[in-house]
Formats: sequence, structure tokens, C-alpha cells
Amino acid sequence: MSDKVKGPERSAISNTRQRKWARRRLIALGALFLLLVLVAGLWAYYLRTRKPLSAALPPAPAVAQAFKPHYLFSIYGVDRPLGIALSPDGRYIYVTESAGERLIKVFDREGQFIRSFAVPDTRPAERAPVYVAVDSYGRVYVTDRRRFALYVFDADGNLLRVFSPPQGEEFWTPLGVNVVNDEILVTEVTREQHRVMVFDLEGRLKTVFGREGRENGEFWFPNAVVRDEEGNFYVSDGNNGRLQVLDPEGNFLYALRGLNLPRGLAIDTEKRLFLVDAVAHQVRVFSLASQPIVALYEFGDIGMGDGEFRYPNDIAVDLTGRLYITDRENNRIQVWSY
Amino acid sequence: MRRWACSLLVGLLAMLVLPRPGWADNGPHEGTFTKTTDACAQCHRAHRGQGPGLLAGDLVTTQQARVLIDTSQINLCFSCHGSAATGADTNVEDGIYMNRASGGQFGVPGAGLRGGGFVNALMDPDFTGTPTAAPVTSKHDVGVPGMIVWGLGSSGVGHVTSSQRATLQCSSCHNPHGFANADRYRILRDDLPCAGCHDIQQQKGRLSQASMPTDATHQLAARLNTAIPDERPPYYTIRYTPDGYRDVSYLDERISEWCAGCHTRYLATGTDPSGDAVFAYRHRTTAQELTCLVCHVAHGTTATMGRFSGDVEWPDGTPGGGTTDSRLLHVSNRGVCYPCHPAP
Repeated sequence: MSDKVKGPERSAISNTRQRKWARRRLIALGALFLLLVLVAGLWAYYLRTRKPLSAALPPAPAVAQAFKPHYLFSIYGVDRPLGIALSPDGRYIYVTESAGERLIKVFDREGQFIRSFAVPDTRPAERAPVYVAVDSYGRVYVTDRRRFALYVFDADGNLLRVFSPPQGEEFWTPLGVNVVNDEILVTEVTREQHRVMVFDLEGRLKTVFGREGRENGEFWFPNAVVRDEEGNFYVSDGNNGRLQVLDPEGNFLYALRGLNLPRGLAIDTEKRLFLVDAVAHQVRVFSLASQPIVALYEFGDIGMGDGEFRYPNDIAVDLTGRLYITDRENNRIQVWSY
Repeated sequence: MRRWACSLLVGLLAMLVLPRPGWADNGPHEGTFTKTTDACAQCHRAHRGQGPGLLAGDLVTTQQARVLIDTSQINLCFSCHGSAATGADTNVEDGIYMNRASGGQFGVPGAGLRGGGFVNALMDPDFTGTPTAAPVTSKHDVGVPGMIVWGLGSSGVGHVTSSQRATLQCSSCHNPHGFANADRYRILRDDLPCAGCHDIQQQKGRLSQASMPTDATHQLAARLNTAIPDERPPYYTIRYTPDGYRDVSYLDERISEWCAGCHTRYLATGTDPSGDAVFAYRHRTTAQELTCLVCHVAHGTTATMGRFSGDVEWPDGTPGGGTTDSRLLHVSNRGVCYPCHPAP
């Protein structure tokens, strides 16, 4: 009976439905418009008040940066070690000796001696290996102060090549060496031209800056140079007792002064910069999360016990947070960890 | 023209007369401390020193009589002057100059230092024509407690006693702080006659000419002139004469008086008997051509000794040590005698 709706009634129902749909569309459009206004307002608010995330929130590494490392163990069997570096996978430790046989010694990460090597056809009195670095292919770079040379060995200690002085120069005095992002960073201390030099892996000079002196942008026995993710240079300016920070073009930005005898440098994945202060017998740690960099803490003190140093000189850090520090006068490598 | 000449002359005179700041022998040691100097804190701790000299890096605190500061000072010095020379061009461990010449002033790159070295030295004691790096056979033992100071004291005091022993430090001979208004050869101390025996830091303010004892040792010490001026231009490495000997023409006659700050009884003006039971007749050491450094080096030598020279006993009667008993002579055997006393 009621299944059959007559024409006028059907028309009325249809009109009612259409009005409902129209009202709903209107509401939806209004809501969309309001949402659009809200988003636009928020966007405008964001554009007016936007801040870098690092300024609005504590930087992510800050949590990790707050903790000090702890002493693990020491590796003995080295004679007054100076420079230290790690293989790309962190399995092997390369160390230079400044006394005794003056070798480059290789240990595994547990401290087991693997092998040693030296510049071929030289006696200990004829060589003085200082700093060491390893590139992503496992090639080992060693500066030799006595021989005025930068040597490149393969991972087994076979000599591959000798870096020549830059074109047009007959003589150079490489001191510090580091490999960062397939660039070889060298500090060079020929009299009156203490400077930083950047080479590609083929040995082509890319950048050079600095000279001997005490002014900003000048160096006095710079011992180490590293770069951060932004390309800024950090140079341990040894005899000037400061850490200099320079932009990617080598222009002076600022310096942290009051250090005793800054030597080795390293940067870890948590944006921490480690600086070995040889005469303070400490490792000073800085945060690179912001510029200028901020001092976090230092660790170590003078002594011969566990975790104590006597003239530490260089540092290397692996991806697991292990720190390897040459402890020169204690004739050992100290291993620390986070 | 005359005005220009006068200006030039006045300028030159001003350079000579006016005090001028200068680094000590071009080293990192401050020669120009100021009221706001930052340099002290690099090596010293005012309240946390580990050594009598308040050095930041000294472990052993046992201060012995006649010792300036403790036995690990050399570790601090080797932080820059060691075999890797990470903070200096003068590698005194190997006795090598680690840089290039600059205007002909500073020496041949990689050549031997005049004083030799403490572990190795680059010398030519056998006239081969090619200096060779080799371990030293004798040296001034730095940082070793209780070493005998041969010839310390005035003539006639007899044999070596315990009071003639000392611990030699780098700063026993060199002034690590440099000299503000004076150039001194190798920043050698000019207070050595006192510093050789006394802890200057402890005695400051208590030592004076008026209170100086009147015995012969102190009277001699008062007469010694140990302010050795630097050579100009400075030159660090060994130069050889055509006949293969070291060129010692640069030496100042007063260097023997400087050495006599410790080795007092070796200082001799002539060959007359000294009246000393041990050092009765002595080679003259007070003429320019006969200074101590004509025959000896200051740090260490690679010379080797033969049958006779190696067996020469020490002043206290101890037998000689054989081929390695080179006693800081810069020529093997007794070759140092030959230039002045050639075979007839």
C-alpha cells in the first residue's frame, strides 16, 4: 500500500533531500574554508615566528653529549706513541712511535698486536713518524718530520707513494695529517709558512691557507686539522695555545684560547670535537651542535694510573663511541668508551 | 742627500740602542712577558703544580739538593723538542735541525745540530765526508738523579764527594723564559754560576753579593762572565771546514767560563800546576781557540774511542768504559788533539 508514492509526494521528498544535500555541501565548504583559513593562518604565523629546530628544541645530540666517557683498558707495547688512526671499519688501530724503533704499529681493537712497518731502508735514527691517518680505501698516510715527507702505505704497510711538495716548491715539512671525506688535510710547518693544506686523494692541492704567526688566521706549529659537516676547519694551533675555527674557504671565524698545548683532534658522530691538550694532560670535549662551539667537559688528569695521562698527544674515535688516545710518556694507548 | 744619510744613521743608532722586544733565540719561549701575559699558564700551575718549579707536567716531587726542578722536566721539553719536533725546529733528541734555511740564517734542513743530540746525533766524527745519524755514545745525562759533576768546586777540594753530584735539567743550562732585552746564545742562562748549584727559585731574594761566602768557589763564581751573546745571524747547524773539522769560529771565548759554572776546576788560564791533587795540570781553556766546545759537544756525540782513549780512567779513578766512553768529544779517539798538535 505504502509502496506506491504518488507524484506530488515524491517530488516533495526529492526537494527535501536536495535541500539537505545543499546544506551539507554548504557546511562542508564552510568547514573547508575555515580549515583553509586556519592553515593559512598557521602558515603565516610560522613564517612570522619560525625558528630553526635546533633553537626551538634541544639538539638531539645534547643528550648523548652530556655523558662523559669512561676508561676501558690500555694497550701497551708502544714506545712513546704520538699519532693514532683507525681503519675504515674500526677494526685496526695504527700508531706511530717516537722512540725506540720508531715504527708504525698495528693493533686490533682489543689490543692484540698485528704487525708493524716503517719507511723502507731507514734506520730508527733516520726516521721520525709523527701523525697517521687512514682513508676510506684503507690506505695509511704517515708524516715523517725527520724525512720531510708524507708517505702513503697500503693497509699491510707496503709503501705506495710519497707525497711531493706542492708544485713550484722544492721543500716542505708536513706535520699533521687527517683524512676527512676523501680529502687529505695536512698541516705544514716550513719556517715562516705554517699553514693548512687540503689535497684530494690523488695528491692534487685544492686549498691552502695560513702562515706562521700569532695573529688570527696564522699558526704556530699547527698539529692537527679536522672538518665538520658544514666544512668548517678546526686547527689545533699548538704553540699559540688555541683552537682556531675557520670557514670552508679558510677564513678565520674565531678562536678558543687558553689551551696549554693543543695537539690531536677528532670529531665523532654525536657532533663532539675532541682535543688532546698535551701539557694539561687532558682531553677537552666540545659540542659542535651550535656555533661558536661550546666546551662540554674534559677528562683525564696527570698520572700513571688507569685513566691518567702523561703527555697525551693524539686521539681517534670509532663509530661505536670508542676513543683511542696516545699516552706518550706512559708508553701506552688508552681506550675509553661512552 | 745629507739629510737622508743623517736619517739613516739615526735610524740605525736607534735600532742598536733602543730596547727591542724579541723572542728568545726565535723559540717559543716568551721573551716579552707583559702585565697581561697568557704564557705562564701554558706550562705552570699556581696551586696545582706537580713539581717544585710548579710545572704542570712534573710527577716526581722529590727535590734534591742543588736541583732546580724535578726529574721529569725533560718530558715537557721533549713535547716540542723531541724526535718528532712537534713544536720546534730544533730536535735535540736526534740532534737535527728540522727545517729549511731562511735567508741563510737558520741552517741546512735536516742537518746536525752543533750540540749533538741526547739519543741520536747527526755528525761526522770519523771524517767520512758524510754526516751519519747514529745513537750517541756519550751525553749529558738529563733528568738522571745524582750524576757526578766532574770538576765542580774550587781547586784543592779533593776527590769527588756526594756534594759534587746533581740532577741536570734542561733548565739547568737554558733559560726557558728567554731574555726580554738581550739575545743570549741558545738562551743559555747567564746566572749559571749560581744556578749550577742552587735552586734559584728558592733562593731568590736571599742571594746577594754581600752575603756570598768568601771561599774560593764562590769567589770564582762571582768572577765568571756567563752572559754569552748570540751570534748574528743565528745559525743552528754544524758547519764543516775544508779539512773536515767543525767550524768553531763562531764561538765566544766566554763559553768556557759558562761551562765552568759547573765544571769549575777545568777552567785554566795556563798550564802551571794548579795545586789540585786531581786536576794538577790542565789544558788551557780560556782562549777562543781553546774553549770547551772546540773539543766537546754540549748534548751528545756519536764519536767512538779506541784502545787507549777508551781506557782512560775517570777523575775519580773509575776505569774507562771502552769504545763508547766518548766523553762528549766530537771526533773519534783523540782526534781533537790533532789540529793543534799534528804529528811531527
